[in-house]
Amino acid sequence: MPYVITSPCVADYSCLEICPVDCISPNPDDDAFDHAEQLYIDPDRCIDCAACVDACPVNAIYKQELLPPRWTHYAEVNRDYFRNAEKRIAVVQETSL
Amino acid sequence: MTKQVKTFCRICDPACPLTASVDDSGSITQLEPDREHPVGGIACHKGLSYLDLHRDQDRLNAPLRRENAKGDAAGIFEEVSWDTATRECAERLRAIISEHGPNAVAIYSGNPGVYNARGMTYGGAFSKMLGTSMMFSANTQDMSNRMVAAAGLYGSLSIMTPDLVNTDYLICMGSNPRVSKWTVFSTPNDSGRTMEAVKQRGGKICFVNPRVTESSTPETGETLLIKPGADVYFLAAVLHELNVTGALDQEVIARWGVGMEEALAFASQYPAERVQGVTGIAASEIKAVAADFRAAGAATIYVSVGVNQGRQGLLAAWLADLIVFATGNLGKRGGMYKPTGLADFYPPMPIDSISVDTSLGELRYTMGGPAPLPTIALAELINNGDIKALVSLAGNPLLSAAGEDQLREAFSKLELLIAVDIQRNATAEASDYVLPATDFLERADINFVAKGLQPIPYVQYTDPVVQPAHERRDDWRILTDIAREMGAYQGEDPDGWGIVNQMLAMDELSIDDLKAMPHQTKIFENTPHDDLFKKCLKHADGKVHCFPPEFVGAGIFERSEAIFQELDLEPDNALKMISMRTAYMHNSWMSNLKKFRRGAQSTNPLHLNPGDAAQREVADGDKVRVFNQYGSIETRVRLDESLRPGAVAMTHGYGGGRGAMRIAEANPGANPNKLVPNTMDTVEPLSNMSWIGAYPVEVEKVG
Amino acid sequence: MTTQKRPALRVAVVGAGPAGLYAVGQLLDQVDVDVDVDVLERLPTPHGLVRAGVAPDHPLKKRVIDNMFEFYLDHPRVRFFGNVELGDRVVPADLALWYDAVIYAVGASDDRKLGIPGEDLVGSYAAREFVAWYNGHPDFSDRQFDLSSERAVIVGTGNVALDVARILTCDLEVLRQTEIADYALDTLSRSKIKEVLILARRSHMQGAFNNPELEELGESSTVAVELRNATLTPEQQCLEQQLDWIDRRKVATLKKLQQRQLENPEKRIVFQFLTSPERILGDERVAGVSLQSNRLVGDSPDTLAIEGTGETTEVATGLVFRSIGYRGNALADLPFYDSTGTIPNALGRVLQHNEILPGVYVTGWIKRGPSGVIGSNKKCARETTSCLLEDLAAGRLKGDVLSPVAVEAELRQRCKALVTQSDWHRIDSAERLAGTAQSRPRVKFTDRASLLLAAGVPE
Repeated sequence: MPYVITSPCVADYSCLEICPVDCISPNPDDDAFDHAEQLYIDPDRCIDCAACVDACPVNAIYKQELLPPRWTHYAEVNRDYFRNAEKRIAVVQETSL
Repeated sequence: MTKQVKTFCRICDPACPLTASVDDSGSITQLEPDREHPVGGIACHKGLSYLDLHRDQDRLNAPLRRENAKGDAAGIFEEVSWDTATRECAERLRAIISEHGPNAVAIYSGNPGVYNARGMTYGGAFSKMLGTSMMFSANTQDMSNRMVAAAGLYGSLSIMTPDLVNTDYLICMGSNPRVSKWTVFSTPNDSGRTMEAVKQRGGKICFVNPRVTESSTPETGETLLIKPGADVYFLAAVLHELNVTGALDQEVIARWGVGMEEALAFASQYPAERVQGVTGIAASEIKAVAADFRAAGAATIYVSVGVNQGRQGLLAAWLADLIVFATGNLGKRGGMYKPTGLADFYPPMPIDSISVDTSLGELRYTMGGPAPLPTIALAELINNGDIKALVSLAGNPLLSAAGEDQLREAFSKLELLIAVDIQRNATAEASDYVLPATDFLERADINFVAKGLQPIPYVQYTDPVVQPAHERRDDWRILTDIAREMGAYQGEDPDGWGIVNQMLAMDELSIDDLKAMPHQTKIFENTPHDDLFKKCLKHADGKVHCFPPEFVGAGIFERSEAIFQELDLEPDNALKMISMRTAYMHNSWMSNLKKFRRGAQSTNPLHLNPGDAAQREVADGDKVRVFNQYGSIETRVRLDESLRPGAVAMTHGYGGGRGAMRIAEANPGANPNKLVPNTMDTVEPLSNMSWIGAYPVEVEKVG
Repeated sequence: MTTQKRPALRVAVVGAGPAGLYAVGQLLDQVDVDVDVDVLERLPTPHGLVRAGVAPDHPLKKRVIDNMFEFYLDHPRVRFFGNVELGDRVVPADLALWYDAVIYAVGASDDRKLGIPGEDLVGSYAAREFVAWYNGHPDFSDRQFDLSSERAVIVGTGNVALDVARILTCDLEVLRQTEIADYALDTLSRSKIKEVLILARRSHMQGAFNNPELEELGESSTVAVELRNATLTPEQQCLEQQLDWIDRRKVATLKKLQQRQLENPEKRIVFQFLTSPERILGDERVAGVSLQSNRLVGDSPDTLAIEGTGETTEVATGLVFRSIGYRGNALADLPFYDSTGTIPNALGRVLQHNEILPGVYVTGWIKRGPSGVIGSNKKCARETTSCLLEDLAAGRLKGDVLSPVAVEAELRQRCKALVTQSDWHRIDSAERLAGTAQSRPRVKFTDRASLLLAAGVPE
């Protein structure tokens, strides 16, 4: 099963840089990145290589079946992001840590 | 127009099928898993990142000749033509051989050469051309004991394969297949699905490791946290328990085995109650493993590098096969077997058949390639003047063998050091000549080393995806050109396939046949699991030697008991270093890829159990000195709850001294091999393996 | 084969928070040029808002320190000099002389004001101050927050507002396992707060919080979440469906939070949407807030706006936190846009009177304003360091610098109690070891004197 990015994600895109199949979005070269809350893994393109897991500086990436209970819904969140990828992402202007 | 080229990965045993996209200019634009390959599998990020290595600005492009003293840490090199490099290397080798004899030239083969069919076959042939028996390889750092165990038990180089696809119970020891993708077992990367399938069909995997690895999950199985270096006693206790509970298959033993009584007598020295202290695993747990093994319809054992490196890998490999054999699981579906494949033929392999007279006395080894002389002896043999020249083939012994400092000093005394490689690694940096080889995307190949280790047996051919850039040449050609120039080789083999062709011919195949097949792949039909009894048992009596007399002769059973007593007396807070694979290091190959050398991956921290850290008043991130009688290194601590107390872990392949590999050199990381025992008395008899895992270290805070 | 390499580029990064450290990381990534970096930081400790801003109950986010930033600071090409305050003894003009290039990553150390009467009463604070206080920031550790009121009011709906709401309502047993400052634990243990009222000027479809932070409120079994003014008129119902994916998810989560049935919740967090504070009430101390209701106008998510209804109410409270954004401060003699709280720049190159100041760069919040998540600073730093390297290649950097040894000597002469990376490691190690004994990640030193003592640096 694919890997899933969960809530601690801080959009440090080390995962995206090491992903060999380019299945993590949004890319920092895209405008969407500037308003992203987090990054997401496309479950249909992930090859389960796990390279992103330790590249993530905040340990936010899990194999889908090993998601901690509080974050199991992130499997759907990641999938959903790509279903909605064509849709515009609103500008979130307020400060967020 | 982008062209798609079917090829396969050559950085580890699975040989995952790949698709390369090549544009009109002849550049590779993308490397992807070949998802349509009939054998399946999805390549991992390391293999796909090989494209970065292919493009690396710091690659070797032309033959280099050293202009400064060899003792200087950084080489000053001049580019020379191939003609000059070949002629000068040949002249100097010939002069050394005529003055000191062929054994004054040593050959060291590194791990990448294994995934290079023509390079590997001609590496072996090159030593014969030169007439030298002074052969070394990375095998004595990782798995030569598996070869010798097979030779002792079966009389041939028949390393058996666990039938993971059908087994009901697997003991998986000293291995982290999820990260290291299996070794001496070849199936395209399945991201752990084969392991998960065991549990899904009602079977069980028992991991035995000093660390809960990435492989051990709720979907696969739990880990028994064994103390480092105690694998032999765990396996002996399991065998003994199986014996006393009447779980052995006496019929099979009587039909195929000799020496089982003596083997069981050895095992009886290590009942579960006696070994629980040394192994750190309760007697009840060991007995439960034996009970599970017995209860399973078909059971098997997989031991790998973590076990091999632990000072007694030979006995551990022997015991693993012996348990499988004695319980009737050898040659059985779901047990252990020898899959068919290319050149399904196993000639006799007498142990310790090759002898070399040296200043250290007579050194013996089993075969040219697989289980050569101990790398540990290399520095001393150079210092003593036995070895005057060293040819390193895709090797980096300076960082990957024991005792970097001693080796570095010894290398400076060599009359001639030649490195054939794709990058100017630490060993190349110390060399007189550096000869640029092709990478796997630049050379034609077949997945030769996988033969006999594949659950789905197949052979795949690949063209060069692109023509070699710059002056790079195939290894086989570099070697044959030198040998020809020396007058040591008169053969005619314009494409270098000569030896491979002979093997293909055994299956009535040729390179042209393979080229014509889809994915250039020929899949072989499986043969019965029990055909190993016919094809592999090559002792004169045709039996499985359960208590190999060569082992007895080498004293390894007494040695084992002595080690047991030593471990038994160890203080509770003793620390042992184990080697840990990560997703960011592949031996020392991937050192110069930026994306593998960032943040935490830019160094090589010491992983330490929080309890062990607290005892030493060491906090996460603290700078520590890791030391023992062999050496000392400094690094930072990473607290790691996956380790059992007493086990500390680092990754090998790190270290400095490779200034031309700029990313690696900017982020060298500490090299734990400076701590590896490097005296001949620490070498495992017969296998010549270094004690490269589970050796004692101390840790203290600095600053 | 021997190539003449230029001497290492000497760069100063001012500010050791995520913005500065990501810039260090980008510089270390360079292959074609060697870069030596000195990181100058006004506190004795690095890591900026990851240490003193990220909530203590978000330990994974703080892992970016151990997994990334510490490796940058430990790199042999990098030196950390803490306890160096720019302005008096060391000024930007000095740095310009000492280094090839200087990157200012000083963040936003102020906040936006509400601009309403009563904002300066005792009991009215910036959320920023409270956050720094519970995180043990040495400049805020002597603050006192009076939590004796039953209600706290937070103005603003960003993640900082949610952090404050969560900390104010959090189970103490949970907080005891974190690196929260000990004095904050003590104060929180005496807290009487039962309700945190979050005031949102705009509608429930326009929350500034991020989804993960909002969802996290649902993980507490003792804190109820209540929504006010979150119902739409029949004509506006369709708006929720037209929101983009991120905002739809927020609305769905808000509804889920409201529908949760908790048995005897001990505390509650109330989101009151479409409400603006008009005045903070009280004589010397805050006694309440006067609120004005707003209404939502517009027929598509793009055109939504609010307008005041003129209707006002009052709510009693002793504690008000404004949480409507951080704000950068001017730095010594560097140019500054007061309107945005940033240093004027083009892609990170600092501008003075619309001219590029050679060798002077900005990154992070002082460059782009206080927005984004931690990793946004990586992209931001990439842009800045690309400019820097471009300028290097184009010969726009002066190349006449002070040697590393001389720079350190200058710093030591001018700044008392300079904290180096190994000194910081002594602080770090001592904090972690103290934490181990209490099963916490660390126990922080919260004042300069004890930080410097742990560092082994005489004051």
